[in-house]
Amino acid sequence: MITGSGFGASPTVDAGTAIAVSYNSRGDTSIDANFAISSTAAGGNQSVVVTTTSGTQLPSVNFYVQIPKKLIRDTGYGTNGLGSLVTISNGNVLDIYGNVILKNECGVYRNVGYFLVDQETPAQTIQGDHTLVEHFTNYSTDVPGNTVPPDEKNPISFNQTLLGDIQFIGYKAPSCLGTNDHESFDQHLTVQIDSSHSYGLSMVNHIDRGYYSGTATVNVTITTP
Amino acid sequence: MLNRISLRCVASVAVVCLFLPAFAEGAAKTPLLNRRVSISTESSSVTQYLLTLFNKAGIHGGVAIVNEQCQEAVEQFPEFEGDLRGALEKLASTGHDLHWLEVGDSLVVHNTPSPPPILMVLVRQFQFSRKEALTKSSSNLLDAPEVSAKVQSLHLVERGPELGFAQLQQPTTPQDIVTLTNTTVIDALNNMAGNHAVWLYKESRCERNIMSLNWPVR
Repeated sequence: MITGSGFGASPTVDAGTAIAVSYNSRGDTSIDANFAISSTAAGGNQSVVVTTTSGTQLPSVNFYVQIPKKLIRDTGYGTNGLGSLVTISNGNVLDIYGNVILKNECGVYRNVGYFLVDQETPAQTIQGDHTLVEHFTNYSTDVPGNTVPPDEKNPISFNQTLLGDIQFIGYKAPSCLGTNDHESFDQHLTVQIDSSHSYGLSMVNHIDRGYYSGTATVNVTITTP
Repeated sequence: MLNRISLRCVASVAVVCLFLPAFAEGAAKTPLLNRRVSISTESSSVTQYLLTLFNKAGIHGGVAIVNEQCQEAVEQFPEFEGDLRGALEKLASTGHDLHWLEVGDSLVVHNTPSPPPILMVLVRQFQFSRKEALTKSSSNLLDAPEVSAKVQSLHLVERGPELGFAQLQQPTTPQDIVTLTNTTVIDALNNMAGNHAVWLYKESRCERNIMSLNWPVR
């Protein structure tokens, strides 16, 4: 919504390159417009200019186009974003919101809290419907038969500000992890908009999870911020 | 005169609105195996390659891979341009024992002559909510007495799924509850997948027989 005065009955709005403007309503004191931002739009400030019905261009204001850049840990969750290490022998796996996701599991898990942020300094959080794609590399394990997980496509909705990654390894009870059953890998993330537009995030995690000589472990270490 | 207002938007939000409906609409009109796929050279496991095919073709359903080896081989898959049937036939002609079946609007691809026995178990009754996490629904399905009995008889160990990022739980209404009777596991999974998700069943016959059921596309 753009408000002001002296717009006349049919003012127009220019929001910059690769931003299409459509109008819900226009009037002398307000314009209700939608900005459809193409994935080719440049990040950062774009000038929004209103031209009155009589053809006068009014002073511009800035419209900031956010580009997804990285995940940062939510320092308000757990210890600097890392939830507690949870060991279960026949128990529930809970997500960061406290929902029971799995029952009767034997293993170890930890939730990690993140925000998606943009390119600004200081970085600002981003809210929006998107798909967060995980890609895993450098996989190794002591469990014969375990293999690198496939890419995971996680739907994220607009009202999710806190993003919670659940790092879990375990078996359905009564089967349990052996005292040295573990795996490690790197986790890469991409924000996907549609089938041909995506933004690779800079943050890379190295993850160790399972039992190491009898010690329950879920370590999530940021190797590239 | 314009007020000094701060306008902020994320590019992704608007683009989702613009592109996704058109993409989904176009894909929905074409029979599954006739969907066009365009894939550049890829170095991956056959599992990952099949998931890429599902993704590129914009289809839902599942992949079932039984691996007799302890490792999953990484291969170089050449560039492909054509329809999904052609892509699968090309894979099958290059030493991959692949089979596929269309189940309604879903596609299931498996690398054994028939789908793994666990997926063919008949469950008398199963209920899930379309509002709950897919991993939760499928875990509950594997807990069904008929499936648990089969898991035991086959001496399978059930590895927990890759859980990924949590989704906000929405309140379930009676309309969200789906009740299936006399359904196979494979049909129940396809039902859960709806018109967007892809399940992945993996079974490795190494030192232990380990199975897992994941949702790489949720």
